[in-house]
Amino acid sequence: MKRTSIRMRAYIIAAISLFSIYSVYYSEFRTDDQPFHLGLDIRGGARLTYTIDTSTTPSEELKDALVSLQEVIERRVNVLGVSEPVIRTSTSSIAASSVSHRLIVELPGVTDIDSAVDSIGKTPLLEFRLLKRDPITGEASFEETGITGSLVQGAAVTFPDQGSPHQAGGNGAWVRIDFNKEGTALFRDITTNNIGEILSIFLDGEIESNAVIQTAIVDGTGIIQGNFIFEEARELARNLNFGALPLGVDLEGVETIGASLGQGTIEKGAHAGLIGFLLIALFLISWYRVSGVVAVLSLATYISLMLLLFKWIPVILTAAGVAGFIITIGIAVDANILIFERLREELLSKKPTKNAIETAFERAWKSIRDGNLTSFIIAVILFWFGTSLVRGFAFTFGLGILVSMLTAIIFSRGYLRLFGVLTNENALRLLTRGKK
Amino acid sequence: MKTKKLLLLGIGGSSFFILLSIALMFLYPPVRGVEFTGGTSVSFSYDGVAELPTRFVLEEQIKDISESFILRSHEEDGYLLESVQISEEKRRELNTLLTASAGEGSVDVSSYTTIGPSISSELVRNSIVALFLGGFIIVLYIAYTFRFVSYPVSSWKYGAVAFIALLHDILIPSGVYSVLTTQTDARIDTLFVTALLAIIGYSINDTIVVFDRIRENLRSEREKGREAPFEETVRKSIMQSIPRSINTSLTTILALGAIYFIGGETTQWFSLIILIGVLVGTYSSLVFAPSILILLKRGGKRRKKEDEEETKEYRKAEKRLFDSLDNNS
Repeated sequence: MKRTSIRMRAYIIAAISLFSIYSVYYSEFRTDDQPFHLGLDIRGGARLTYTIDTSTTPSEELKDALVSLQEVIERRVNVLGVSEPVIRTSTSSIAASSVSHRLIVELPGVTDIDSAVDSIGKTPLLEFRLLKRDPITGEASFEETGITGSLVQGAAVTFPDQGSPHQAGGNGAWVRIDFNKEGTALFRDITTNNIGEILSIFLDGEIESNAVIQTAIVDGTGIIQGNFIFEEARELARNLNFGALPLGVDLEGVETIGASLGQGTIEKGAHAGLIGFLLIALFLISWYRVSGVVAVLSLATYISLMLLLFKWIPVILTAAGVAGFIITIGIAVDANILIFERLREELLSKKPTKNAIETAFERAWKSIRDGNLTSFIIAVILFWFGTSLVRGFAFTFGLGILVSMLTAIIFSRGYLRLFGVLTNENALRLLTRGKK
Repeated sequence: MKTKKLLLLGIGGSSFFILLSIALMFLYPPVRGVEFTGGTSVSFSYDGVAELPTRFVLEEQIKDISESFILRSHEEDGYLLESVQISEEKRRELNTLLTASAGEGSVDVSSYTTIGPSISSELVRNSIVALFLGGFIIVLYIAYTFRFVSYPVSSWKYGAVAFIALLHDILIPSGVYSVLTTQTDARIDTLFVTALLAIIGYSINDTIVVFDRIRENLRSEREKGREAPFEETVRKSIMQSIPRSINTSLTTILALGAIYFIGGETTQWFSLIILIGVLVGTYSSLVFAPSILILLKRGGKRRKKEDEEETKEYRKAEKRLFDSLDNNS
């Protein structure tokens, strides 16, 4: 490779290195809107785990029901005003003897879990209210009709009789509601007496949709005619169907991690990380001399890139995730060390420096590749099989392996090549621990 | 060092530690944390109180809330309560109780965990399945990449040995931790599982790198035409790998050491376990795993030798038979 192109490349990658390091610095200390996304065990907060009772739900409806449950719970959690809550349903994996479903609600920063448990656990309200306008002031108010979700037997998407659009995206899907016996009677009364009025559907106190009462409905079937596109209609029908909590939930676990514990961990962890890095840098430079400097630069780039990825993707960092990251730092250093040790061997056998560097890299690469690939296989499988804790680890670990291989190929090699002009003697002295 | 010494150190040493670890796990059965047994664990501390409420007094009060529990001192200013699972209502009662016990000061519940046991058994089960499935795939992958050095040890065996080394690397720290859980407030919890995962990730990488060196040396010898005995090649590979292994472990240990000393208390056991795992892993990659390889190869060679002997005997008998036939005719 020509001398100038080596230098060009070195400049380019140096620029990238510096840019990524600076980006992390900037993103962390100079601006506030790119924070790290910290998991609950680092940040502190509360986690509520509910088991979901799916025994009465036929399996075709299960998926919809779970989605609906999640949405209802999300709505309630939002009322609490928690920042960055995480609500998810989790299904136990293949390896379990029976499939079980859970609802996990993570509330970062919440210390008073009593109100959280209360507001999440209560039965939601599906209400039909009449919109009344004050004739004088024109103010709108909603009058309760007594029609609630408990009276709804089912809801479905339907289409107007004439030339119905069948594809999603077409206008004019309707939602049909079927009431049970009690509901039918009540609905009949309300609609008979309020023709022309607007009936609003409330879910958990918020308006879901409005419908104009056009005729008296005696058969207990109401149709909400609106310009729904198919997806909207389907969502409304689903929420109406499962307007009460679609599936019974039972509080199985409560965890709180005190803010004090959480906060302390972050600061201490950051401290430890910095000191660890400095120690490693010191060690690498003292043992590998100039190569060590290359390694430190490469490592700094690696860490910066990973931190940036954590912010951008974003990755929610848990203790397990951080652990995975730490191990990948060890593996990243290992890649460099492999190259340097080979380099020393090549130089000792009197090869010209330029060739020694290339050969060293070639031979080291096989080891790096095999070692990392096997680790990556483990990461993938852990991710596939694991619960969220294991996944957190597997993700940062797997990501770290990929990025570390990249930094070894691009940065370590790029910087090392600059030294191809040294004589074998000088290279041994500068790039390795010498001849001994 | 001579091969005999290597084998002794490798197989002998490791066998000893493996047996020791298993023994420890029986003698000091690990204490599982609440995440694995199900139950409730509360850790709280007092601030601004003239005198810390005594354990006895607290225990009397907590008896109304939990049927079975243990209360121990935690740090200088607090307690750790471990009990069977308590209901939501009871939890609130406990909160009231604790706040009251602080009198004029305040109580800080730094962590509260109530868990049903089903959550965690899943975690363990899945992790174990994942581990063995991963091991299987690794054996396949190594069998493939090492296919050109299938003699004298068939290539799939390399992967299998790497996996055994992995199990070894997990077993020993587990043994140590098992004892720790009975003597201190360390518990088998998700953090411990995470530490094991970290060890897995590190160990496999480390072992494969050493094997790769063996592979490379085997190939280059074959190409050069000379073939040193397998044991020699392995020994040489180990010697060549020592500087790299030590340096890499050192780096990782530095990072973990920093976490152990400076990181918060929650991560202390965690970093300690990984530290042990890394040390054990380095040893297993350099000594234990290669020793098994040598043993495997020796086993193969012995069979071959036996075959040769057998064939010789057979030929001799054949010859005698023909000779006698010749003589008679």
